[in-house]
Amino acid sequence: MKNNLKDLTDEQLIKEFQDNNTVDAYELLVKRFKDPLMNYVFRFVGNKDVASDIVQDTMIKFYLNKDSYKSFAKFSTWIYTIAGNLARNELKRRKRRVIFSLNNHDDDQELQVEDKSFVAPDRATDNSISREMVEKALKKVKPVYREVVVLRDVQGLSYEEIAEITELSIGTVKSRINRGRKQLQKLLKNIYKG
Amino acid sequence: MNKKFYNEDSEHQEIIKLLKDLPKVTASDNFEFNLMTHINNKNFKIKSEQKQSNFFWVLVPATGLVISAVVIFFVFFNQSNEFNLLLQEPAKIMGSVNNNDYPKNLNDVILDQKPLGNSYAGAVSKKKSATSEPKQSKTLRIVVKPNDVIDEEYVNLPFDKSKSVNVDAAIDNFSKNSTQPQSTLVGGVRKQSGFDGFYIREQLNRKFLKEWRARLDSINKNLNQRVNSLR
Repeated sequence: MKNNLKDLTDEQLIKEFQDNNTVDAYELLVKRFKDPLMNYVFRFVGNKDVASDIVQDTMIKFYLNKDSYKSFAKFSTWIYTIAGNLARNELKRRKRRVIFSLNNHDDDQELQVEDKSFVAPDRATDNSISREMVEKALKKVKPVYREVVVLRDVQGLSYEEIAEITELSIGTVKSRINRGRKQLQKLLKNIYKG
Repeated sequence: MNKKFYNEDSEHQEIIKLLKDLPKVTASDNFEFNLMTHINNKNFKIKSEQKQSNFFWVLVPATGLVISAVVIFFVFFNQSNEFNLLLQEPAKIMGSVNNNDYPKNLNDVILDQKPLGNSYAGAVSKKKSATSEPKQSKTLRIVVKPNDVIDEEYVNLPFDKSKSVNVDAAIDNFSKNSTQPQSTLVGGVRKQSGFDGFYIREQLNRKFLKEWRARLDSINKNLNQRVNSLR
């Protein structure tokens, strides 16, 4: 049975889970999407523990609301939408906490990436350092832009899929991706000469 | 015709490459186990939504606002009571401003002004000497009028200055030289003070007076009748 399930597409698996309440189908979908979702949510919220909780919540929501999935949509789009909504709520909550907190220790405020004195030019060529800087710069990009940039450039989704996940028009998605990339480029100007 | 508004991927090739090269983050090894444990135990609490229902962040500014409002209210409430002249009786304010408070001619008051120092005190003392000081024992009182004019007035207090004594000195003297005659304290036995103390003014009872007047009239009438009969 399990071997047969492995050959099924995501949409067929969710149908199996909806119709026959097959937990194996559910488990298989979890196995397929836990890592991509984890990567997406982590790049979006910037915290591994929070990202893990969000992905766990996404899977629970998927389990509880399996019937709300309609077969005309792609399963990946649907599950990304759930995870994206939870991540956005988390970011809003964190923003409120930062506003009312007397001591702002938000990670986003820690580093001025555009400070050229931060990394010596000879060290900037080092892959690990440049990667670290990209990660930090990505955290500094506005969340509305960061979300779509991550979906496009990190997760490799199409514009249509991103538009469906974010419930935006394709034009808005493209505009936001462009702005996000420009922000990132500005932040990384000492290692990236674009 | 198909105008390209955004250069899309071609313009930011290097950024895209940097983002693609970022290491992939994976879920923890026990992710599935934890998830299935939650589901099997029917523990469907969604952590991120639970955190959202915490309204403490609303209470913090609300509490601050209420406290500041209360403080501001009390501050302004007290100030308005202290400085609101409208609450005072207008007659009192007008009555307190007297033409006598202003000297008509400064020469009347300042007879010999000294070049330095006690200018106003000198003026006051000269005024005191210029005016005929009452020989009776009266207490001089400095009064600050509402229009900031300082004036002095003599007040008849029921204490005789000649009989007044420094209480501390008297006690000290008594303890040192008990043989010496003791001083008399204020209101001593030599002369009785005119001060009778406070008494309550009673209101007239008209009914009671009428009754007694009627009685007295009847007695007088009766007496007159008797006198006439005896004659």
